[in-house]
Amino acid sequence: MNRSRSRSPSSFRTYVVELAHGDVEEAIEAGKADTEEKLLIFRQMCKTVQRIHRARVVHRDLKPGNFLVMRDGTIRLSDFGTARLIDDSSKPILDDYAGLPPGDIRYTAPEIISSLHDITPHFAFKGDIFSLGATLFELFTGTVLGNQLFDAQFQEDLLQHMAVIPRDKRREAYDGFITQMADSRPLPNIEAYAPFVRRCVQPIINDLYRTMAALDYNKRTGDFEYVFLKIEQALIVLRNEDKFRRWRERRDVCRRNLEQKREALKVRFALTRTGKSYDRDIR
Amino acid sequence: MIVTSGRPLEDFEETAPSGGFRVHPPSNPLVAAAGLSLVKKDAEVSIEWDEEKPAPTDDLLVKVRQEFVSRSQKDVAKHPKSARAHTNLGITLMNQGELEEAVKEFEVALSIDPRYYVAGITLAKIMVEQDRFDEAERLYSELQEAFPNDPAPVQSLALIAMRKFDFTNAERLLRRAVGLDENVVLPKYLLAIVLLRLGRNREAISLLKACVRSEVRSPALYQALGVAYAMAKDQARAELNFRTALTLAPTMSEAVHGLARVLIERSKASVALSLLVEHLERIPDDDHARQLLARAYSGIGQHRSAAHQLIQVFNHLSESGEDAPTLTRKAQLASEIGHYFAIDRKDKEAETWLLRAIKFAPKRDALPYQNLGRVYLRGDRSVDAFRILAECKALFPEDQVTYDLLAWVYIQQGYYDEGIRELEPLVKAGKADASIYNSLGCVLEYNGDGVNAERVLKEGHARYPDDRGMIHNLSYVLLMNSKVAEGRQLLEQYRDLLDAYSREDSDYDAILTATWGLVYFLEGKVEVGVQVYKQASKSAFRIGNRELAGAILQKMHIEVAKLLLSKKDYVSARREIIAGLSIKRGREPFKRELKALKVSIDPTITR
Repeated sequence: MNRSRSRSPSSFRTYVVELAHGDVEEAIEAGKADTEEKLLIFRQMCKTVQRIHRARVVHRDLKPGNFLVMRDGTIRLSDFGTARLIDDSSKPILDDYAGLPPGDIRYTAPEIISSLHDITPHFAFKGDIFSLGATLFELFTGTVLGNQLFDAQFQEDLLQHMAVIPRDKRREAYDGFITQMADSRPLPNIEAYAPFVRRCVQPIINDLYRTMAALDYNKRTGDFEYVFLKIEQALIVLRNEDKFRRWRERRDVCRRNLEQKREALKVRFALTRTGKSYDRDIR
Repeated sequence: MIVTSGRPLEDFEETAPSGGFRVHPPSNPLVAAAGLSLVKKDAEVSIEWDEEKPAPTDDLLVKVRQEFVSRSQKDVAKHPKSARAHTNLGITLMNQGELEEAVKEFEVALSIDPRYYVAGITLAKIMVEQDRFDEAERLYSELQEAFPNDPAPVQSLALIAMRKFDFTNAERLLRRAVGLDENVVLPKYLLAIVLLRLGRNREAISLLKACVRSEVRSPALYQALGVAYAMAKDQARAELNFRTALTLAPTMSEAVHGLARVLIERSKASVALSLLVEHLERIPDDDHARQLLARAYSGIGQHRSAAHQLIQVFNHLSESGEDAPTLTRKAQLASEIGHYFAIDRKDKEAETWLLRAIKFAPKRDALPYQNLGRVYLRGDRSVDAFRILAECKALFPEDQVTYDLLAWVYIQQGYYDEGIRELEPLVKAGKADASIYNSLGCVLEYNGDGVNAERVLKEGHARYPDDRGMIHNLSYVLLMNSKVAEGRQLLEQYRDLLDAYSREDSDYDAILTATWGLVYFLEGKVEVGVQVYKQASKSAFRIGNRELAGAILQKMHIEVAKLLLSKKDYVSARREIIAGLSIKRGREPFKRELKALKVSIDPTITR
């Protein structure tokens, strides 16, 4: 293990930390990891965040650059400068970042940009999940989700809408606003940015990142077990791709046959019922 | 009782509802550059593209934007040779509206890695937005070569073809994109939009149904399917799909608009009303929804509320400036507001708004002129009516409604020959609408030329056999020409059609009832005839049309007087005539006929 020692006087405390091999951002930059490796990295990232959340700690600056990759391939979470301990007695986190949310704004959930955590500190937990979802998107596409999602119009709507609303009524107003925004701005498919990602797992990864990075915090998952289940599902599909492909082909053939039978039934009904088409009879 | 024309004077025409069905493509922000609107006018479906919105100035907003840019710039400083970092900065700059800077970043990214997919496709997208179609096409073609199995460049080429209105090429490209990946929804969705534009609604529906099976939870797809069904005139299925879209996305404005339109068209205006009121409580600035709310109010007969909703939209629009499209929009709104006031018999307000509509865009549409003419006619302001309709005729010489209305101005003044001269050339040229045949038949009948009235209406009926006004008017003229059996036969032959129309139009119901009164009368069942006439007058009174109620009673007194005269009972006949003349509201030709009868009878009584 490499150690770094401080040369400061003995009265100062000395921190000794492991030397990291790099971080997840560099791994994305290198672009060498395959789909399975990316899923394994992401599972480790989620486990680290699950661990701090169990200890009632929110990180508030989760992004690929803050997940360190150790020499043995394990992932460590770093940079706790913005982290907070949040329990039932926690006071609101009044923003002390000159109006801007803590951490890297590109990975920040919209409710945190709208300062909802100033009213209810527990929002910060779901904020971390959003950042993880955005990181998953970036892991597979190389594109920062926030850059794509929070365009000028979104920022304008979000900030100008919230700025005029009193603090005590902000949550209610935000809920109405964000539901509408989320409806009108569906999250992009990862294949739009990365057509080379293995097709067999694209729907699962899309589903997972969309559940984690949902704009509306009410629709965002907070359940890490669900996340691990999805990752496991993707890994199984990936490791059995051939079998999965054959299964899908069989399923598509069955669907097509069913469709043809329905069409044939429609024609039969049309012939027997005085020239009228009774589509509604066929369900 | 004769119907004044196939298009009665009271039948104020409504401006075609503005806006169309709106669709949002299912997400691929790299392909679909902007939102699409499908606008359906008459039989034509056109595609309109969203405009960019101007940038805001708020301090915090500026700070947030700078934060996004500076974070991405730091990444570039950390990885100066990274195509990914430059692309991410490019995307940030693009989304903050700094397109020139963004283009530079994408170009740097492509110089580092010419195969960097996101940089290439986003740069091409910017070129499309800047209408640099040829350069964009070149870039997409390069991407297509580099990623032959990716449908995105092909569908982007199709989008360019759509923007160039080359829908055949767009269809070809989109079919290729669908072939590349059966599971990707966007090309199928776009193909469906193209097919809708080409009027192939059934094909579009089956494609969208396939899309929905792939993405069962996409509100955008259900919305598009709703639009497709609405365009195929399958309103029940359209309603079902809009409702599904709303279940998945309860605040989706486009789905609210689509559902409201379908509900209004299905005569469920009250349901549409509650849907729109709830939506407008959430989004009070949604002008499109407010216009639909106006139509919903009108649908339940609350025309004044409809006008007030549109006034709000008008006031909102007044803040937008005075450019040509805004003025046209204002003119359209003012015309609609005037129309609602006119139906509500608020003639002063109607006049003000219709004059405004004419002032904003004098050469846009004949409708405000015509509706204003109708308002003047109703208020016995024949000179004003003549002036505005003559102006309209000079501006829109092809519009036959104006000729029809002008003829009625003459008729109101008793200048029947002038009225006939206005309409006859159109009939003789063989290009007259049903309403012109109707009006000419009426004026000839009023002028006492029953033979020619019958001839014209028979000619019109042969040309427009299903025109309900014409069927009724012809049967009336036949009755007046003493061809009672023929008149009754015609009314009975088309009973279902006429009854259906009566259910839709209360005025028509009263008129038809009065005509049945005439049938009974001429068949010798005088008591029944009088009863039926009175019943018809009461129904006209109940719906607030006092002029019609009066006219029906005038006609009844004329017929009773004629019968009494034929029996030489001059005193009773005179009593009937005086009763008819004492009716304040009625129709001028009937009043004139009553006066003529009185003049003919008075010397006999005096003797």
